[in-house]
Amino acid sequence: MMTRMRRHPCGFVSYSLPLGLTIRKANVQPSVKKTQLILALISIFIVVGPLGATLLIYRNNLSGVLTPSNVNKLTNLLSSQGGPEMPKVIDSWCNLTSRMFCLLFNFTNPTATNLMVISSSANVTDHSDGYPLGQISLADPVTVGANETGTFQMTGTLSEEAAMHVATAHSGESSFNVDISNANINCSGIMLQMNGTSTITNVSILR
Amino acid sequence: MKGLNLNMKNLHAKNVNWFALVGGALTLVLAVSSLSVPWWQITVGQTLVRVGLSPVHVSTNIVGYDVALPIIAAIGWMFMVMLVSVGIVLVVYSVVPTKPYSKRLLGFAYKKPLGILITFIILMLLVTNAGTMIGTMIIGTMLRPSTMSVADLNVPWSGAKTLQLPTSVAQGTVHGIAVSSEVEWTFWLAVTVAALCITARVYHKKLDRPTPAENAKQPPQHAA
Repeated sequence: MMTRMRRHPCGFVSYSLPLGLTIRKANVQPSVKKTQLILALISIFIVVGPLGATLLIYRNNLSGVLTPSNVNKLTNLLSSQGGPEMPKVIDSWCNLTSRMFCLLFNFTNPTATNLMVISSSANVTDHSDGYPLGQISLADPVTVGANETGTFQMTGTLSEEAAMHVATAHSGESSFNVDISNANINCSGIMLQMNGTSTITNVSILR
Repeated sequence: MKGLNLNMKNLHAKNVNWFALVGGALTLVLAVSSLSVPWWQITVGQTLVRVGLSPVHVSTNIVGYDVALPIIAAIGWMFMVMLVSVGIVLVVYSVVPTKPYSKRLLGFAYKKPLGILITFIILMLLVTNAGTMIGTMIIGTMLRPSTMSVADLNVPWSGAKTLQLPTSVAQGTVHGIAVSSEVEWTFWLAVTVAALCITARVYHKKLDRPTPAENAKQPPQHAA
C-alpha cells in the first residue's frame, strides 16, 4: 500500500491514500506556534492594556472616563453668571472743530488666551432725530491678554453736514445721545454682527 | 562566539528585508513623534480653538483651556502600543525574513499602519464635511427656504478659510468664523510607513521564493 506525502506552500502536508482519499494536516513547527502565541498576546495587550489601565485609574469614578477635563471652566465661561461681558463705553466725545467722533471701550477678556480685536465698525445716528452722523471704525487692532482688561478706540469723521446738524440740533448742550447700529466686530477671527441698536448716552460735544 | 558568528552569517544583506527594516524603524519614529506633532491641526479663530489630531494623541485647547477626554487618551495609547509593537515586530522580522515564523510576524505587522492611516483619513473626511452635513441637516429641516450655500461650511484639509454662517444660523451674532488647518509632516511620515510596509510584504514573496539552486538541492518528498 503506497502513501504519498506532499508539502503545500501554505504549510499543509497532505497524505494521498488509495481509493482517492486524502488526509490534510497542518505542519506547524514549534517556533511558529510560539510566534503565534506571542503575537496573540500582543494583540490582546494592545486592546486590553490601555483601556484596562484607564479603567483602573478611574475605578472610583467611572463616569470620569467620559468627562472632559476643564469642562467646568468652559461652562462657567459660557454661562450667564460668569459669561463674557460686552464691551462698555468708558468715554465718548464729538469734536465739532476737527469733526472727529470717538468712542472709547473697555473690554474684559474672560478667557485663558489672548484675544485680538482685529477690526470693528458701526453706524452712528443722532438718538433724538435719527440723523445719520457717519461710520466709526477701530483705529488700531488691540490685543487683550488672558483675564485682563483692555481698551479700544473707535473713531470716525463727521461730514460737514453732520457736524452742522450736531451744532444746530444740540446748541447749548454739552452732551448728546447717539445710537449705534449695524456693529461688526472681528475678534480673533470670529466675526460678530450685532443686530438692533444700542444707545450711548452723554457723548461730550467739544466746540 | 561560534553561535554569534552563525547568526552574523544569517544576517547576510541578501536575506534582510530592507523595506521592513526601514519601515519598522520609521514606525517607531512615527509613534514617538506623533505624541508631540499632530498629523493634522485645526485652528478656529486665531487661537480660540486648537485641535491637534493624530491616532496616538488628540490635543484640544479651547480658549486657553486644555480639554482632554480620558477615553480618547486610552484609545490613543492603544494606537501607540500598536505602532510600537508593529515597529518592533517589523524590525525583528526584517533580519530573519526566511524563518518559518517570519510570515506570521510580517502578517501581524504589515497591514496595521495602512489600517491606521485609512481610519485617520476617514476621520479627516468626516471632520472636513461635518460643517456641510450639519448645515444640510439644519437648513433642510429648520431654515427652509435658504439661499445660503452649505458648501461654505466645509473645513479645508489644509489652508485657511472663513466659514460664512447663514444669517438664520448665526442668529444675528456670529456670522463668520476663520478656520485654518494644516497637515503636518507626521502625516506624510505615516503615508511613507504604510507604503514601506506594503512594499515589505511584496518583497517578502521574493525572499520567500526558493532559488533554482535550492530547488535542485531539495530531495523529492515522497514516502513509502
